[in-house]
Amino acid sequence: MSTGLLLERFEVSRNGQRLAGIDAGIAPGEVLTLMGPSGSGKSSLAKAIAGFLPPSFSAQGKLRLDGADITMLPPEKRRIGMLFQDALLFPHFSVSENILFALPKGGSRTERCQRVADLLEPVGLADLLSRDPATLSGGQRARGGADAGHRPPSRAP
Amino acid sequence: MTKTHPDHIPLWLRAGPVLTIAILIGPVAAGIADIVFPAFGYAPFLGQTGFSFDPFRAVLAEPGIFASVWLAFWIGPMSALIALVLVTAFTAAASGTRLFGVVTGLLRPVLAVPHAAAAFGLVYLIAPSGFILRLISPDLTGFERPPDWLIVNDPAGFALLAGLVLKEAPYLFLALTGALPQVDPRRAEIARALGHTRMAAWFYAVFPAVYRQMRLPVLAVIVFSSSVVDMAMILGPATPPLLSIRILHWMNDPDLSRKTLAAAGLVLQLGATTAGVLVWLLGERLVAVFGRRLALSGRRLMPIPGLAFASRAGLVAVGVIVLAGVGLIGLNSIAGFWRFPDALPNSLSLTVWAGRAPDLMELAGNTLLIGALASGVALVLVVLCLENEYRTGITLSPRARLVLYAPLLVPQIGFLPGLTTLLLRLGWDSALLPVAFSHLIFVLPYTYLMLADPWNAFDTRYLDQARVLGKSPNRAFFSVRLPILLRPILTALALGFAISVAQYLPTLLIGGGRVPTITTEAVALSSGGDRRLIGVYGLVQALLPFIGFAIAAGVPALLWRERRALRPGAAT
Repeated sequence: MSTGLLLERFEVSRNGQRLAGIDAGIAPGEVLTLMGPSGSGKSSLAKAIAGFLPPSFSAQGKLRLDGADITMLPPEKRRIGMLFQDALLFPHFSVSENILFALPKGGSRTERCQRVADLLEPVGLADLLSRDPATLSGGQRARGGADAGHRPPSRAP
Repeated sequence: MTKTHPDHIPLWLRAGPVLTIAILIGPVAAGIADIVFPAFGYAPFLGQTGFSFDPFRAVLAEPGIFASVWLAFWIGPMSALIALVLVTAFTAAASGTRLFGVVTGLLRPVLAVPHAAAAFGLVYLIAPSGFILRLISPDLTGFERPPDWLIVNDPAGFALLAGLVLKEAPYLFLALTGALPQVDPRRAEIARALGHTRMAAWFYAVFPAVYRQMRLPVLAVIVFSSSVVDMAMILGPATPPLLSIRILHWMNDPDLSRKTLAAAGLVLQLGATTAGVLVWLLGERLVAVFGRRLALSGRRLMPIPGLAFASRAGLVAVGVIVLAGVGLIGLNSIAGFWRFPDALPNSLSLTVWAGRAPDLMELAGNTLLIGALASGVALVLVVLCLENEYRTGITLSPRARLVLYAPLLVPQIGFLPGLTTLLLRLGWDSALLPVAFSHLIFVLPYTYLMLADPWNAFDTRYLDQARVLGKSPNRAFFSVRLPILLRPILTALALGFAISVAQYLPTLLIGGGRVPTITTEAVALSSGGDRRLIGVYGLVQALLPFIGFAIAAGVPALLWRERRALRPGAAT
């Protein structure tokens, strides 16, 4: 069984017209960069991989994660993270609540809070735990957002 | 072709629009059907089963009936016209200035003042013994006692017209400010650059686009005015009164044969209201044709001295009059001895308040309970509708908006009597729940209209983000969408509560007179003329809606006091 994300002739079309397609495997630890002019469908392709497709769009092909077909799964079951261009932190949660919301289920409250602290320590945000996300600088937001957004639910053992 | 994961839409979410549409249309349709048959002589409860025009002959033979019908016909379009002119002239003269923001703030509380309270305020201001004449007497007028003038309850209906305008102008202003952001502000600038005056530029370039959005609210105003009951009791002519009041009397007549008279009267009412709406629609056409001709003629209108000032002052006056009226209601409630030309009472006392406290508590309790039920259920239904729209991607078509306005485009007196008999037949008689249900019919449209814009402006990437983090659509709805939208949600709830508090006719009819609220009691007192008592009940009625708005402003401020992005004015 192959590990990593496999995109099998995965394409998005808008109103029946093919926009962008990709046929590649991404092994764990690998980075795939997608480049193209604006309007060429990069964002739509990324959204389709995460599981969001606007009504006028359609997708073809298959998505496999660690061998399992995830093409038809709803976004929350795909275990695929997504980071928006401008780091999107939930405005009604504090910085640590944002991360707590993102962490997969499990563990006591203290354990979960400890994990949040461990995650924010290396990016230098440890003393901003209770802050309002609206008061963070752009760079701080980006790092906080990366921590929150990059933690899809843990894989089933 | 692979479709991406069609999201499963749970049953409770699907039920939202179905229930909402049923509540908006069902009672209106059933109520109207119920009056059509008796009006044409089919009244099994009287043993009459033949078809005849007798009820119409009888109703047309009633003394002064033509005056009643004529008033019901003209007062709708006329009050809407004056209110619309006030609101648009103000906007044309003041949009983009500081004053515009000030007036927006001034009219918001005015909007929450119930019709009856606004009417009482006007009485205390303009009546022969009212505040204005007291201020200028006897110095300017020489009056030592109130003149024998029929200012309030005048036979022509001008006092009623003034009262209606006071309540409708703030409502139309809200509709206008809701539509304004959708029109490119540069339109007016371009027209001004082409040499038009500030006001002409606004009317040529912005008004047509804005009016399209205000049309249904304007029509609702016409329908409401032509069949209003509570305000007409307080301000309207007495002999003969507005048609809607006469219908109410016929309906409450113990002589059952008067029921067919009432039914025929209701058909007349629907006819008068429809005629008023048709005249308005004709007027729309004429304004469009002549406005276009004027615009295309290339003429540049000369600025008229004083016009811009008058336009600004007009709407400011509306707000000031209503709020001053509420102040006078309060003053009357605590006034002791208050001789005529004295501007202020000699002494103040809380005797009336103290004596009425137990009664007030019970009435306020009923009002709060009914209001909480109606606005709460309306909010849940509207939220379900909006979330359903988001998840299915189906948005409201213009025709569907008409459904939303259905209860507002048919006179209340036209379908509520039928609804009353229907509910009686279903065994749901005169208790709190049916009254709350009848309020729900009128609260629903406003709740929807209030919440739809902020709901649709919500940045749905927050929901996508939550889904990516493994949360289900329902979880994203409850822990991301609802808390972030808490402020507009509570504002819509407060508006619904205010609408419910103001309801007079549904409470009276559906409750069968056995569910007294602060509004039914205040209106009932209006014929008695005890100004202290009216002051007490009127003030409670005027202030109750503010409790809702205070909570709607206070709870988010407290809850989100450390969340800068969720403060009022911050974009979400």
